[in-house]
Amino acid sequence: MAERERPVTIDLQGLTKWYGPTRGIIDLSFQVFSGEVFGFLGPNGSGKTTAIRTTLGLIKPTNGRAYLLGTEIPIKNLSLRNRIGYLPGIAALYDNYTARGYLHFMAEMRKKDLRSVIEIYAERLDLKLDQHIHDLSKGNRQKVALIQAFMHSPDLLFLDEPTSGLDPLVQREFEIMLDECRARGASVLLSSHILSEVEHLADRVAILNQGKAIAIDEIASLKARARRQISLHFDRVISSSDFNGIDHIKEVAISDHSMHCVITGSEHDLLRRAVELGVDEVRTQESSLDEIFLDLVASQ
Amino acid sequence: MTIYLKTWRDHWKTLLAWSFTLIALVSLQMSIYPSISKNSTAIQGFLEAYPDAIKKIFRMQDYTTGPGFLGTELYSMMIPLVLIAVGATWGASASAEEEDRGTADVLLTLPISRVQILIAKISATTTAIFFLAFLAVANILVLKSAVDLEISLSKLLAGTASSIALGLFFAGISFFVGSMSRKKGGAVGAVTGLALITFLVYSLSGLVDDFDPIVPYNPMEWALGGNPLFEGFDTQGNLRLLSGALLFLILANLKFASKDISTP
Repeated sequence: MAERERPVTIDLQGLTKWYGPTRGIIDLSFQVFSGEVFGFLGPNGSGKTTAIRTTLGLIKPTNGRAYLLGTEIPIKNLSLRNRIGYLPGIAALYDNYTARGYLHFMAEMRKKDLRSVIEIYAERLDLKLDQHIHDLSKGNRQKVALIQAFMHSPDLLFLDEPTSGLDPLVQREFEIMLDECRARGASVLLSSHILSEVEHLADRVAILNQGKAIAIDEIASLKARARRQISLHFDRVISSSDFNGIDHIKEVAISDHSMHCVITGSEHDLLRRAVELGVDEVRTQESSLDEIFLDLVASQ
Repeated sequence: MTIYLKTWRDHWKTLLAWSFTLIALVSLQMSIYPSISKNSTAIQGFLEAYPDAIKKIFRMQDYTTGPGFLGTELYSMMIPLVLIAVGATWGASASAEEEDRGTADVLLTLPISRVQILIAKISATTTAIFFLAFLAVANILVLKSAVDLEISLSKLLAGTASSIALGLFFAGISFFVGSMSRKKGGAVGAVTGLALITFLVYSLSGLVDDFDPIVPYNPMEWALGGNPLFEGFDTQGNLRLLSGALLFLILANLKFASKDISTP
């Protein structure tokens, strides 16, 4: 379904947060749509957690507005909060409960009977519910926090560094849970500083640096705009003058039948000239999201 | 109700410890009373020989009578301080501990408002203060005939009401300080410190003339100055304490409702 036909679940309009003179986030504006996994990327301290906590009403914005499920924050309609799930960056739980007791308490707060759902999630994530939370490892605490966020089937999920401490098998199960959310039309805002994780899971990403969104796009589009290395091989000897006037290329290196360059932007002009010159092999090395990220940060 | 029950669950071990402490203190003091009452003439004469300063500090009015004994040994310090300690601890935990541990983040995104959360915790704290005060009264009532201590139920309840009001007053301050801070320890320390200072000022006010201007504003004076164990229910003192408690609880709610929640 085209984006404009899908309901907007998160709408940030110039959201800004300053802690006195200290920068939190600056002028964040984007929309997240139903059924979309939206990645929040950025180094530590870039404002990812502040953006999530401001959107959830835990801290007040200095400027700007945010709408969740069509309602402006802070959300006064408490029942609407039952449609939102949140996994904080630090899995802070009540240590005097067992995992089951804690999750039942959370379900009770939501006025929902989720006992069977909790058991199912615990089995999927291989979590022993009878253990006391103060005895749990970091990974198991993260599992409890994940179940807490997912168990009431929210329409909107905020996940701050969700795979922190999880082993690869559980990470795989988490990805399946995320796919299930997407399939039922829920939106997920997923923050991470692990670029490969977001590249793998998200439909679109916002790249944050020093509190600002320096890019918001689909990963494929970001990659298309990013610098890529291209190697061309020809059936005749070529010279650098053959590529005069071609836009977007740099670092051109010519050797007899081969040409190597870095391209940013459309490959169209380069490939048309290459065909005219009798290209017989084209090799493209795509940038990873890490490289895109570093390029974007460097260009700021 | 879920938050109310959770608050009790969070504190039940310390509440149990305070309950046993209170029962032990009351029982111990009550067990001494027969030796006081049997030798009342000698003890009264002995006390008369005390320096005025000591008598004023410890408010040893009619020490050998039931109300005098209970006032000096239990209601002028021990019972109020236990109630203050519980109010201060529960009040400071209400918001500061949730924030300090990071548990506030999820709690405040649940379908319950910040004000509802605080009201549930205030209700639990109030119940705990009433519960401990009831334990003390029940303990005294059970033991009073065994030790031949005479005090009317209405005077005993009047003294207890003042202690409860004092506990609620400091609980209110604790909720307010807790809502401004994010460290439970600091909030508890500040409130118990304040309680001890007010108690010290109250105790010394009979001796130090410089304290005279602040005596009318001292919450200890509001609770104990009316001598409820002798004079009965102190409406004015209790109203002052409860109005103060209400004011601080309203301020705590306003602060908590509007504050930025910090991360641990």
